[in-house]
Formats: sequence, C-alpha cells, structure tokens
Amino acid sequence: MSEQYKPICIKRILVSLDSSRHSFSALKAAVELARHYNAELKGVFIQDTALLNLAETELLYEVGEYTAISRRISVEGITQGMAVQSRWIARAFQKLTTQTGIHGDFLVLHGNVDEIIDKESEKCDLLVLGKSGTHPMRKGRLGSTAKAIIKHGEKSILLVEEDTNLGYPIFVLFSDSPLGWTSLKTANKLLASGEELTILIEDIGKEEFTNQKNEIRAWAKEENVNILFQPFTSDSFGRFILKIKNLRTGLFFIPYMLKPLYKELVEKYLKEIPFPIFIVRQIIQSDEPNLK
Amino acid sequence: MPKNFELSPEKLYRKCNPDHLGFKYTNEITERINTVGQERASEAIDFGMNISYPGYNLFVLGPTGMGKRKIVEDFFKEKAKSDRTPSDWIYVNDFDNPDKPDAIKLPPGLGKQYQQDINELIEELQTALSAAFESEEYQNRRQAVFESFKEKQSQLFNELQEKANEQNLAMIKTPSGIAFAPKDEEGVMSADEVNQLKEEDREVIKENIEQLQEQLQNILQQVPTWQREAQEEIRQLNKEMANFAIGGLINELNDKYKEYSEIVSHIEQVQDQVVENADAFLPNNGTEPTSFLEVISQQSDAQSSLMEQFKVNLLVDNSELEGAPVIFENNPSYANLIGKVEHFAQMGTLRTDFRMIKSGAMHRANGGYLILDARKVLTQPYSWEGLKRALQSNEIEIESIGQALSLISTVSLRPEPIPLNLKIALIGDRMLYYLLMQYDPEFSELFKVEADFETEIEWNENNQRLYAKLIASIINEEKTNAFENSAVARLIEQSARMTSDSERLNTRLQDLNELIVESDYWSKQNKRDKVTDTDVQMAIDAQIKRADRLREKIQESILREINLISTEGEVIGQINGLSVYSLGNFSFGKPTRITAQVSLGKGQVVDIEREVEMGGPIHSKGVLILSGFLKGRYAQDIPLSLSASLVFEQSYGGVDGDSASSTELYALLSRIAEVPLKQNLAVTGSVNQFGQVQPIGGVNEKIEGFFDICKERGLTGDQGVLIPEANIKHLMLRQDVIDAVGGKKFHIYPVEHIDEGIRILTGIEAGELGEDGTYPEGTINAMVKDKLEKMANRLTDFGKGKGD
Repeated sequence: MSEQYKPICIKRILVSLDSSRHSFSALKAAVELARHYNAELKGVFIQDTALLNLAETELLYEVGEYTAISRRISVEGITQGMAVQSRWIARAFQKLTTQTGIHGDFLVLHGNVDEIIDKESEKCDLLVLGKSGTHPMRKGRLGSTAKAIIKHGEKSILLVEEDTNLGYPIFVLFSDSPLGWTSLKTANKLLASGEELTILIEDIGKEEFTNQKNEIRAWAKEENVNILFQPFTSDSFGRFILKIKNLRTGLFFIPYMLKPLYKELVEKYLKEIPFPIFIVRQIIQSDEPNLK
Repeated sequence: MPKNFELSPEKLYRKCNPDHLGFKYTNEITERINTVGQERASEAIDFGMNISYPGYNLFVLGPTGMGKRKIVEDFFKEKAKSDRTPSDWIYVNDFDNPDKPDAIKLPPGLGKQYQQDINELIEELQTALSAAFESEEYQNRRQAVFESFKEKQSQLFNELQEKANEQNLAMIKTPSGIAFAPKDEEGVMSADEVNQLKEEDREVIKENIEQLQEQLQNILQQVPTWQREAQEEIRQLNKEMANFAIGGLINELNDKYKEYSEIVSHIEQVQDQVVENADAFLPNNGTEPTSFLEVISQQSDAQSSLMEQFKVNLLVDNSELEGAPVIFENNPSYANLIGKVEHFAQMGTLRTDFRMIKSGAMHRANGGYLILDARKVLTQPYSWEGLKRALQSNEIEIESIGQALSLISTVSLRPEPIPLNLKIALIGDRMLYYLLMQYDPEFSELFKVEADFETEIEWNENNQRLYAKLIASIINEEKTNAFENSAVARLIEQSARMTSDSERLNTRLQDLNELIVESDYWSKQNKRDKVTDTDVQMAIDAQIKRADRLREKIQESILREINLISTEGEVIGQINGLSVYSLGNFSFGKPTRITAQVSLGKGQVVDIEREVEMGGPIHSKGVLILSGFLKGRYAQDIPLSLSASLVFEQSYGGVDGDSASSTELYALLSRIAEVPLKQNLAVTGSVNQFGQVQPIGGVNEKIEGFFDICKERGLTGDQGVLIPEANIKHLMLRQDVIDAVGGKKFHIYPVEHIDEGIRILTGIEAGELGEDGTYPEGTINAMVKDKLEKMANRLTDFGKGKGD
C-alpha cells in the first residue's frame, strides 16, 4: 500500500485569524509551513455578523475581560472593536510574512465564521486555525469553530494551541489505510535531516502488527527515514499522551478517517495534545496530480 | 688713526676640517646621542621627571623643529622602563545607579582577564540557565503553576457556563469583553426573536443575565490576583532554578577574584541580577512574540540586553605594557584627552550606558607620562580647562563638553572619577610659555618645571665632535647612506650658517634632519653609496632654489632698473642700504637706495617711513638717534638749524629695524657736506649717538644680496660692503663671494665708527676734533660743521629779517 500514496503537496494555505493567542500561534505555524512548502499564505479575519446582530438586543451587556466593568453592547462598539482587531492582526500578518519572505494576502471578511471558513478553505490545500478562540475558557479546550470545521470540513487542518510551535518531534498516529500512508509520507517531508519520526502503531496482534511494522520499515529504508515505533493499546494511549503533554513544540499527524477505536481515542485526547496537530483528510494517489 | 683695511677671505668663512672629526664615514660611529648642548633643558627634564610632588609637570620650551618632543619622549621612555607598570582600569555597571558606572582598579593584565572571564561567564550562564529552564523538572513545575491558575479560572468559568446553560443563556466573547445572550435549541437568539418574547420572559432573562454578569465580574476581578500569585510563584521557582544553575559558576569566579573586594561585589551584583531577572532567560523569552500585539510592538531582547549589562568595559589595558606608559597625544581634543561617553541612536533617541565610556589619553598615560603640544591643547576648545581641572583635582572625571556647560539635556552618564597620577610634558614655544605665565595664574602651579632648549651652541672642538655624533645618530635613525667626513664637515658649516654665526652651531634638529635626508637623496641621484660634501652642497643649493623665487624677482627688477640701485659712480645724499627679507625659513638680502635731503629747519630729522606709518618703532628710534649724533657732534655751540628727511626709495612695504641707521647717517652727512658717496659700496650697521657702528642681523644675506647684483652687472673690482666690525664673527659667506674677495673683485670692510665708514665711502678723511674745537680743514666733519654753522646763521638772519 505504501507505494500507492504520495505526501500532500501544499501550495496554498489558509489561516483563519482572530485576536486570540491560539490564533497567533496558528499564524506562526502557518508562516513556517508556507516557508517550508514555498506556498502562498492567505490570512482571513472574519467579522462575525452574529455578534453584530446580538448588539441589537436591548438586554445585552458585556463585562470587560480585564476591567470587569459592565457596559452596554452597541453595534458601533462591536463594529469599532472588530475593525481595530482586524487592523492590528493585519499588521502582524504583514510583518511576519514580510520577515520570512513568503507571499501572503490578508482579507477581512464579513459573515458567519464557519460558513466563510468552509468556503475559503475550498481554494486551499491546508487550513490552519487556533485550537480554540477568544473564549475565556480557552485552555485545553477545543473551540466551537474548530469543532465545527473538523466535523464538516473536507480539507486537512492544522490545529494550533496558544504558545506552542511547529517543530520537532514529529509523531504520526498510523493506520494502515490510504490516509495513514498519506499522513506518514507527509510527516516525512517535514522532517529535517537526522531527525526521527515517531510512529504510533496499534498493537493489534502479533502477526498483523509485525507485518505493518515491516512494511513501514521497508518504506523507511527506501526513503532513508529514521523511525521509532511507539506501540499502543487503548489503555496505553492515554499514558503516552500524558508523557508528551508538556512539550510546547512538535507536530502530531492524525489521519482523519479512523476506525472506531482511533476516533474514540482522538476525540478524547485531541484537546490534550499540546502542540500543533495535523489532521490529514486528503488522500493523494501516486497516479494522481499532487494537488486538488 | 682711522683704519682702512678690508677682510681677507679667511675671515669670511669658518671651515670645518674633516680630519678633525675622527672618522672617515659616519657608520664608524656607534655611539648614539639625541641632543647636543641641551644640558640645561636635560637637567630640567630629569628633575621634573623624577620629582614626585604635585604640580611638577614640565613645560618644554623652545622654537619648533628643535626635536623637543623626541628628546622628552626618550627621557620618559628611559625612565618608564624602570617604573612600575600601572594598574588596569575597568568600568562596570552599577545596577543600583546605572547612570554612575563604577570604576575598578586592577593589577595590570587582570582587567583584560576579568573581561574575558565575565564574557565566558555570560556564555556559560546562558547555557546553564537554558539547561535549567528547559529541564523537565522546571517545565513540569512551571506548567503545574500555570495549569493550577488556568484550572482555577476554568473551573469558575465552567460553573458560570453551566449556570448560563441552565438558564438558556450563551456566553459570548465580544471584541473587548464577555457577554451573555439568550439562546434556544437553534442557538443564540437574534434581536428580533428576543424582542418578540413576552415582557415577563424578557424580564426574567434580563435578571438572569444581570446575575451572571455579576458573577462574571466577581470572577474577572479575582483573575488579576490569581495571575499575580501565579507569577510570583513562577518568579520564586525561576529564582530557585537560577540560583542553582549559576551558583557553581559564580563561586568559581568569586574564588578567583577573592582578593579584589570590588570585583567580588560586582560578581555578587551580577548573580543578584541574574536571579532577579531569571524570566529573561526562559526559553524563547524575548525572541519569540506570543501574541499579535507583541509582534507589532517590537519587543526588546530582554536577555541579551541584560547580559550586556554584566559586561566589563576595559578602559585601560596595560597587559602588554612593560614599565610605565609614555603617551603622545597628537590631537588633544577635550574628548581625546579626558575621554568621552559615546551614544547610540535607538528609536530616534540617543542612548548610552557604561559600555560606551571611552578612555582618553590621560587614562592611557595614567601612572606614566603624557606629552602634549601646548599650542594644540590651547587651540582645542576646553582641552586646557579640562587638563587643568584633572591636574588640580588629581582625578579624571569624564564629562562631555555639552554636559559640563549644561548645553545638552540628553541622558548621559557620570562615571566614577579615576584617580590621576601622571607626569605631563607640554611642548611649546617660548612665547606661549611666557604668555601662560603672565595670564594664567594656575599655570605656574601646575607646570613648575621649565625646560628651556638652546637654539644654538658654541662651535668648539668638543661640541663639533658631539655634533658629528648627533649627525651620525640622525643618519642612523633615518637609515640613509653613510656620510663621508667631508659631508659631515659641510653640514656643520651649514649649521653655523643657519645660526648666522661662525662661532655657533644650530641646534634646531629639524633643519639638520632635512638637510641629511635631502643630501642622501642627491647622493642616490648621483649613484653614490656614500654621501659626499658635493651632495650636501647640492641639497643646500636645491633648498635655496626651491625657496628663492621672490629673491630672483627682486634681483630681476633691480637688474632691469625698475628698482633703482646704482653699483658705480658717486652721488650726494644717496647710498645703498641693505635689508633682509625673511620668507619662512629662507632669508635673503636686498640692496635699497636710501636718500637724504636737508633744508633750514629746527633740528628735526624726518623719517618719511614713519610719517606714512610704514616704519616700525625700532627704525624710528634709529632715525632719532641720528639727530642725537648730529647735535652731539656738531651743534654744541650752535643751534641745529636743519630739517632733514630720510627715505627708503621704492620701498612699498613696511620697514623695521635699525640696521640701516649708519647708512642713513652717511647719506645725511653726504648731503650736509655736499660730498658724493660711492655707489659701488653698500652699507649696513646701526649707529649710536656717539657714532659707533653696532652689529646687525643677517649680515651674510645682506652681503650676498649686494654681491649678486654686482656680479650680475659685472664685478668692477671696487665694489664692496661696509659691515659693523662686530659682525665679523658672524660671517659664513657663500663660496663665490669668498672667491671674489680673494680675487680682489669684491671687498668687505669692517667698520667700527662712522668716521671710518665715511672715509671709505667718500675717500675723504672724517677728521678728528682738534683741541681748539675745530676739525681739520677739508675733512668731512669740518665740512659738515661749517655747513651747519652756515645754516644756523642763515636761520638767525632769516629770523631777524622776519623780526624786522
């Protein structure tokens, strides 16, 4: 199976930005990837119309996040607030893209956040977004937008938590499936010389487990990749995640279409993995053009 | 009896016998000397250099080109060899008062060592701290603190969220806060949907929202306190880790420098700073922004800027020095002398810190010797004041001029002053020395030793030998070809010519140096491996040729009879005077026609030069002396009833000096006696009221000036120059003049009294005063007296006529 699939080739990256620290980390990771793949980077800041509609409700007050002062929400206040946010996010976007010399475009859009992200991500190979949004309960939580995009989206996603960085070590949650092999090969393309790829492989009985490992080894030999197997079971997966919980830098590849056990594990531990998570959704066949 | 003799060629030039020099070539002389005849100055320098009381600095005075600086430098260097090597000085940051950096004195070489040790410590600190902060132990403990804080926050938000859910309210993030909005199964209700609710329902929602808001406010108000607590906890953790990580490194350094309490104190301060600012060493701290606002607000690099503050500014490094320093500062500006605090531009403002303190010459020379050119010090703004202030206070305080004068408000430093202990030698000319003595009361307190350089020394056998050694030393230093003894003899003769004295030698080493180098040049041009007297002569001739454009022009104007000078015939009241022009180092003589007119008057001799303000005071004095002479000799019993005028014909520049006063007297006597003067002679010499002819300067140039004109016109055999007898010892004439005198084609007459001169100029005896109070008939004096008596009578008659 290893020969049938190719790594995802990323030419266009979309990064969805809000004012959160998660989002800033997402931008840094997106810039890093864009530089690696020499890809175009598109940043979008979405002015949420739902929020503007809310402002028209007489009942609504907001409490200042730092001052804790209660004040009436107004359409002007929300509009102005979003305009200010979009300006300084745009400046940061320009600065980072200019510094790294990548081609970047920044757009401020207006509408429903989930719908716009869905629409915009159609034109890209990878969607990068913060694991959570600006909600006060941001830590260790999957934001509503991230949840929705994972659920409905079609493109590969890079989820980034606040104050974390894209880098080494790189882990792949392997499944012997087209997505599993695509994940493995995509991860390999991000390894630097001399680095090791940690492959999480389910211990599913001696024979099948050995066969899978042999196939991966054969591929690794051919590709000259240093690999390390990390076998797991449903019980030990949690312990492994606990071990890597304090890493602030790394990359975790997860193929999206997982068998039930994986899905369960991933859903349980997705929010626990602290560093960027690459959810692979495209399958690139060897005889297909390498982009959608 | 009046004398009537002319000088023989031997009197016109003093030859130096090469055979008396004691060598054939200069490379035979191994002894090196740098001065001749400067015993007074040498003793003064030696005294000033060795006396260790305050204020005994030196002022080395003498004309330029004497080699004063080199001599002083050689003295200092010799003494410095046996002196103790002074301390190193470093500036370090005073963390409590960053604008007042601390100066620390260390044994020579230790300053550099400490600087290296601190640089290494900084590198090791970074590694050790990075390792500590990247350790799993630290990361886990830190994460635990953060998570506990987040957990506390999340827990309360979760509870709030749950309460909100129970009441069908959604918690929403707005751009600047958090709000609660009613929701139903389909999500957050729009404004229209809310407005369609019953009044009672809306009231309930409103109340619920208000309650939740209140709770939210309570939570948010607690957040900063928890945040502070978490930060404090992290800070303590950081301190603990930092202390552990760097303790070993610091102890090692403390052990090494335990004898130096100030260094130990600095190391302790560094340790405190690292521990206090451990945050700056956290991984990624200061290098990676973590939010949009940070990335656009250009966060500074806290870690590297903190590390910079630990560094050592090595102000004075004497690690390579053996003995004491001897420094010559060629550009003694205020900053170059006292040191300066530089600034760098950052974000449009000028900033500085202790690392920008730069040493001055006084720092580098501290503990040793500093040589300065007095004129340069005095012409550089505030350098003199700065130098005196440092010497008076015995410390060097670095302060910019702008700061000292309160002209600038830029933030600057006030580095701790450094104690000063050095010997200063100011090199300057005499005028500067005496002006400073006169007008600067502090000068005599700070520069108590004057080392006065002789400009010339006696030409005797001993000095001649020393002078030859000096020449050999210069030749050795300049690495020129060796000189033959004849060439050295020629140099010695030229040295005497430079002093215009056949009994003196020039000690202005610059002249000698130039002549040696140029002679070597000509020797090489002539493809000789030794420098001969011919090469020296070529060098002298070339020097003259380079400088004598103006002399050539003046001679040309005389020869073309634009400038009227007679060199033959006889004229009443007209005489050839001689003047000297000095152009830089080159002087030449020029004949000038002087004429006299007399008329009836009240005994005044009018100096036309003075009347038109072209004559200097000395010249006017000379002319007034003539009145004195006339009155003393001829008007004892009659009133001096003439009015005379004297003029330097065709003189369009200023005239000064009294060297033409005897010449003017001859013209005046000729005019009064109406006896013509020989135009084939020229005269120089001043005269006193008794008619004695006194010596003048530039005698060689004057004689040669008239000789050149005569020679160009063709020597007639009776041409010559009258010079004061006292000037015979100054004669060092050109060879062609000597040859002409030897061939009786040109004559030099030494004159002691005006009576001798007038006889040579007129061919008539001056006449001695007889016992009867009269002069012999037919003598000049008799004719003058007679004429003056007639004038007096005529004036008396004229007065009577007026009276009638």
